Amino acid sequence: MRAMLDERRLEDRLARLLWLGTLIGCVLIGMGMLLFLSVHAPPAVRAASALMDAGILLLIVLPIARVALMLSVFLRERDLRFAMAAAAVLLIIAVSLAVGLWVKV
Amino acid sequence: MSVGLELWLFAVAAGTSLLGGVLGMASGIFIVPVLTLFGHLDIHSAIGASLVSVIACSCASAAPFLQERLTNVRLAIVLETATTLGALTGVLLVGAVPTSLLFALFGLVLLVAAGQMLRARQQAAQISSGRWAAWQLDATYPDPELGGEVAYEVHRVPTGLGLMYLAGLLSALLGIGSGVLKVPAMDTALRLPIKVSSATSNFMIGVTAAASAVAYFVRGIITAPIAAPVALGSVLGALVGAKILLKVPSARLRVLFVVVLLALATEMILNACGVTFGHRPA
Repeated sequence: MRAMLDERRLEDRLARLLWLGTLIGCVLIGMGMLLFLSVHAPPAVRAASALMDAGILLLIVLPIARVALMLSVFLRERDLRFAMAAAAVLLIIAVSLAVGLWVKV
Repeated sequence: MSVGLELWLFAVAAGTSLLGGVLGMASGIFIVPVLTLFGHLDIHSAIGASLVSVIACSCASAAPFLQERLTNVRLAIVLETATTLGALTGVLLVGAVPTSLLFALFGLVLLVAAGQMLRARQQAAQISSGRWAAWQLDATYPDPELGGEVAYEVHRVPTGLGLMYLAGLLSALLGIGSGVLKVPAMDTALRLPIKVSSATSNFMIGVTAAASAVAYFVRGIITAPIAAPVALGSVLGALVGAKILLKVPSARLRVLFVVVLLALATEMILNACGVTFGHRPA
C-alpha cells in the first residue's frame, strides 16, 4: 500500500512538472513570436529571438528534468534497478550533448 | 526570416497536428515532408524543428495519461535506455548519411505508417509466463469498460528493447516520434494493453527526441525562427484535436490520411532520386 501511494505521488508529480513546463515554454515562445511579428527594430528582434530560444530550450530540457525527478524518487525509495535505468538515460543524454558540442560533422 | 514564413510555419504545424489529434496519431511524421517539399527548407533544419514539436506534444499530452495511471513509468524508463541509445547513434550517424538517403528513409517510414493506418491495432492476448516477473514491470491499469483494475504482464523485453533502439535511431535521423516502430514493439512484442501502450509510448517520445535535440541545439541546427512557430502550432493543434477526437467520424478521415501519407511518401522518394516539384522562386 505504501509503495502504491508513492507511485501515485510520482505520477502526479511527473504530470504537474510536464504540464507546467510545457505551459511556460509555450508562453515564452508565444511572447517571442508576437514581439517578432509586431516590432521590427533590431533590439526587439534580438529580444524576440532570445524569448523563443528560452522557450525552445525549456521544452528540450523538460523531459530530461522528468528523468532526473524519477531518478531522485527511485533513489529515495531504494529502488536501485530503476534508479540505475534513470541514471543510464541521463548519462546517454550527457554523452549526446558532448557529441553535439565537440564532435564536428 | 520573414513574417510570412513565420505565419506559414505556424499554420502548417497547427493544421497537421489538429488533423493528427482528431485521429489520435502523432503529426510529427508530416512536419518534415511538408517543410522540405513545400517550404523548401533544408532537411536538417526541418528535422530539428520537428524534434522540438515532437517533444512539446509529448509533454503537453502526458499529464492526463499519468493521472489516469495508464502510463507504466517503470517500463518506460527501462525502454528509454534503448531509445536514447538509438538516438545517440543517430546523432553520431546523421552527418554521414547523405540527404538523399534521409529522404528515401523518410519515404519508407511514411509507407509503413500508411499500411499501419489501414489495419486496426490488434491487442495481443494476455498469456501468463511470469518470465519477467522479477523485473517488477507488470502492473494494473483502470479500465471503466472492463470494470475496474486490469492486470497485465510484460512479455519479450529483449525484443522490445531492440525495436526501441531502432525507434530512437529513426527519431534522431528523421525528427519523428517513431510511433511507426513503437506501436508494433509495445503491442506485439511486449503485449501491452492498447491504452497502456499508447500512454507509455507517448511518455517515452519526449525524452527520446530530447536525447538528439540537445546535440542539434548546441550544433545550431535548431533555430528559433523555424522551431518556435512549428512547436507552438503543433501543441495548440494537438490540444484542440484531442478535444474533438470522438466527435468526427474517423473512417473517411483515415482514408484521407492514407492518401496523404502515400502522396508524401512518393514525393519524398522521388526527391531522394533527384526529382523535385514546384520550386518556389528564391
